[in-house]
Amino acid sequence: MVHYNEFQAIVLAGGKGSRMTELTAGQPKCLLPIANVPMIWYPLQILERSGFKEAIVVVSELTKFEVSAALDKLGLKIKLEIVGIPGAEDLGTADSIRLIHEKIYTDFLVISCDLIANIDISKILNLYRKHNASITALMLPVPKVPDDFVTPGPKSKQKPETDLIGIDNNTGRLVFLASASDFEETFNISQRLLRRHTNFTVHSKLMDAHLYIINKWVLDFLVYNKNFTTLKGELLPYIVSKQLSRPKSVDDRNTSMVQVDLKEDIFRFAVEKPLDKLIRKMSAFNDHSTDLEEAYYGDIIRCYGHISNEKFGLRANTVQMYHFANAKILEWWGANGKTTEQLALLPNISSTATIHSTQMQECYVDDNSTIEEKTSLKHSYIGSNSVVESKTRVSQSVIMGHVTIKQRCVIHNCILCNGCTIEEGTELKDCLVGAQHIVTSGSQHSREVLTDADRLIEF
Amino acid sequence: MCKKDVLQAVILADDFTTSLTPSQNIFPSILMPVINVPLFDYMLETLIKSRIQEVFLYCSSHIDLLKEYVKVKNYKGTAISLIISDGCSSLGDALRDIDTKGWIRGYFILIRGNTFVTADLKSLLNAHCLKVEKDKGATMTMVLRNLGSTKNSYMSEEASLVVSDKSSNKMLYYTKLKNSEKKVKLELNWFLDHSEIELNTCYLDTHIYLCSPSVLPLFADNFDFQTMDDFIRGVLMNEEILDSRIYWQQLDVEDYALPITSWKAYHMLTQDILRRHSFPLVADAFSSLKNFIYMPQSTYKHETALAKGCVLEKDCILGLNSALGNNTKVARSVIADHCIIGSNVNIRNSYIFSNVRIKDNCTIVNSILFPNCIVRYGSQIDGCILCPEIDVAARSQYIDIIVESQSSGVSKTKMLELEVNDEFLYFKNNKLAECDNCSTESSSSEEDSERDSPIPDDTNMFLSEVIDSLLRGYQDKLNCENLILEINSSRYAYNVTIREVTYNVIKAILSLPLHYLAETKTPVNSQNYQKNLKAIITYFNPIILNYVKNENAQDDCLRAIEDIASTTDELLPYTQHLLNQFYDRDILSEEKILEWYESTSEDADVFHSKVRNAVQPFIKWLREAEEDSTESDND
Repeated sequence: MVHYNEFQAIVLAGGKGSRMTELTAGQPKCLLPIANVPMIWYPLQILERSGFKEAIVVVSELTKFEVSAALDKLGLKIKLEIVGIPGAEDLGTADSIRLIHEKIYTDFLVISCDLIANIDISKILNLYRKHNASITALMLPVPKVPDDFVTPGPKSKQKPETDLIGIDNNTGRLVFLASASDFEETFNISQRLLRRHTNFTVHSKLMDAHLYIINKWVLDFLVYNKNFTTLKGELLPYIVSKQLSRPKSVDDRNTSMVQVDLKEDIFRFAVEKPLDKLIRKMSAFNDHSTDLEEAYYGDIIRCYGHISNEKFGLRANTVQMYHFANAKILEWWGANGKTTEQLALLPNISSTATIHSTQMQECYVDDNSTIEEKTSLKHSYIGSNSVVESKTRVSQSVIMGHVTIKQRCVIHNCILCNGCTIEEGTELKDCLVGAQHIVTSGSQHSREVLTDADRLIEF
Repeated sequence: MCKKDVLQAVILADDFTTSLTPSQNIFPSILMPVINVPLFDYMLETLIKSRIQEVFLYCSSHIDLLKEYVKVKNYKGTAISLIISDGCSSLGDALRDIDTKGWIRGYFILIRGNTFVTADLKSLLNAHCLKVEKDKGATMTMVLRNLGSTKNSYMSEEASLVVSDKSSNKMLYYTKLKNSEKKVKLELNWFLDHSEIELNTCYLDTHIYLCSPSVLPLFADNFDFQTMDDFIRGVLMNEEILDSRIYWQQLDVEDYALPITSWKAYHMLTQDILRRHSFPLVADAFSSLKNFIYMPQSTYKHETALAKGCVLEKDCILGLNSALGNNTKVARSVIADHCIIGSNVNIRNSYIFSNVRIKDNCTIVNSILFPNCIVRYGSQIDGCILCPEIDVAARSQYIDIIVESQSSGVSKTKMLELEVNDEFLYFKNNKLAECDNCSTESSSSEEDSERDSPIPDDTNMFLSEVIDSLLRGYQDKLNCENLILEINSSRYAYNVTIREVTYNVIKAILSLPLHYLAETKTPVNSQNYQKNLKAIITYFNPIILNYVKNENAQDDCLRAIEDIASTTDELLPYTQHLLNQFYDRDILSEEKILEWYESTSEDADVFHSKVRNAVQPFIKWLREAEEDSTESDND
């Protein structure tokens, strides 16, 4: 290895999709199709477009072969190193990073496989470079789901998670980070923070997109401190809160030896390089003009948040978001003229598909699928090796691979997982059919999850 | 909305505070001289420029002075009417009084008399009217000035937290930050109901309020609104019931405003005027401050002033017909008209009002000398306020006092004895106080962050649980049997081994006095600690006996004592008595204590040997007793 990389890219794809177990029973979360492409393609193409030549993809050991086979088909130029971690589905994001720390030798970028967005990473990288940050995170506006959008499955009053994200108006520093669900009615904010950052905005309609650029020392800290299991929930809030702290002065050596556990001290890792310090002291640069303090208030730990103003971006980590991404992806992709060619990789209708239907609107059909005559398909995605028999109507649905829909069925606004079979004359509205499930003929379902109960438990 | 033909402003001549003691006894806030010109002169200039047609001046004290003053002024089209109410004692009462008079008909500008402002008030009021068009319930707009940061400035006590909706500047919460509170409590709903909330501490209330007609009735309906802060808090809390909202607006960056809320603010305002931050209201540009010669380093001298052979260092002004002697030095000070100052006088950070005489070789630092004072030869005045017509004898030395003349004679009050607390302290002690604040603040927040750092493990949780149980048990005098049951159930909840239980229970008992003292707010010192520990051990004896049953448990018990004693200074000298008590109560056996004492633990460090040193006398006694007993056995 002679070449030098400024950043390494790590794609986290080992999650089991705990917020959408109905869908992930049949296949790994990162391979769930969005517009007939495994969702992991989206973060990878972001990296590829931004000029990354290689990336590490972290997956669960069990799914390694499946994922690498799927990735080979995507025809990406970026060189991927797929790392399987035993039991990754039960590990937190920070744990996964800790396990592969030997492969990381420099500052790195972490992206999650469920980030479906059209963003330009270079802006975030520049923000990171400009301030020599500890962590820079991407913040996306929470997608607005229209009221008439129905998520397949039973009605649930699922409260969306709200992040409270405080960003300094003058410097762009990420000064406050918390999840609204951590609090009941009130919460406290320290006066020190208020007096230091005299003017900041707390956003509640932004979400942390789980795209981080992380300094190498944070990794060292993470490797040492094994208490952190997740990046978003634990590590990042901790680092953000530590920005206000100062390294402990070492002169009271006599008393601190035993009581202060030096190993725990974050400032053992967060050390400013002597040259950086000298530059900071000698430079006239200051990141703020509100008071007479030195640049960055002398803080060594600095977190920044980049607010993206792109039209779309979401994390497909719930059934609702997954379905929403499928419903909107074409519109978003089309809206941004220059990127349509990327999706050209996906022809509307695969050359190996057999289509006899004459009524098809805005549908994508993948390899080796068969659509028989006298069918009507609207706004739907049909995965590979699926069969839609005649006299069947499908609309606004996602049909994954190896699905068989028999005659005279009506499928509206549904998600049909891998390998399920819909017998004759079934009517499904707003339903979710689990993998390998067989829906008996003539039945009618609305707003239900149809799956083999034991399958969910088994996983 | 705002088509009222007449632009009205209400000025409260008083601010109903004592923060500028003793000036409220001498003149109303609005006549406070700033560079020898009453504050009202500056205000009038702004009012005239803003084309305010009708001004109501609400007078509640020093009425004769105000009447006199108003009579001689030229108002260029602005009509001034006095509302006289002797003895009104709060802003709320004043506004209720104005409401009953019924002279205010529409939108108006409310100005508190202690403020200094250069801004176009008319356009500010128009901006408020635009807000009313969008939101009928907009009752008031506060004008705030962006100071950047109030940290390390004279205004740090004025720092307030403004929580507002970013898109509309609708105020959600407004509070003064108190140094004593480390945390500020915020409502979660503010953040969930609005997509972007701004939290600001860089703003300063300018004491200028743009009011809708609904402000006066609100004051009339709510008798408990005494101050402006009461009003803001009350309206924000009952926003929906009152259907009123408060907005804020930032003062244009080119404008200047500063309310004189303390002597520090007074000092800052004067310095800012001298440095021409408040242009056009500055010396030689403003009609009341004419005929000044502007010299380098922000120093000014009136044409008639005599200042030969003296040094005007920086930021100072010399008024009409004043004279300075040879070798006199002046820095950051104001010397008003008709002052005569001798030679070799040193004046710094001081305000010398008109007709003051200072003889040779005096030093005046950080002080305020009201009119007609005389300071005689060789006196030193530091951090003092001299009320009018005080005569300071030669070679006297005054530090940090207020000197007032009363019928009975001259009274001197120590600054520190005043109840006005640190808001009042003049420049000298100020720096010190600030530093103190900083250091305590930073250290305490360090502790805070330590406390919320990573997740405690089960054993620590168990320990804190035990401490809670015991503390409650001790306070409510619960039965020890029940406490044992409670501890045992915690033990299973956290899956703690029996040896750890013993260790932690002893640890909890030994640290209990500290928690108990903290709870009862008694100061923590060795004496209190030991007294309480004794009582606690007596009370919890059954518990200790229950857990320290066998030899292993005794080891754990000793280990706990050693660990706590090594980290708790209060316990260390008492350790030997503690061992003695445990020995007497048959909790610890002689052999075990000696075995522990002789064992050199692997991590033998300074602290643990310190503990062994501390218990040495007891061990010695124990050994002697042992020898005695063996001897007696032999007999």
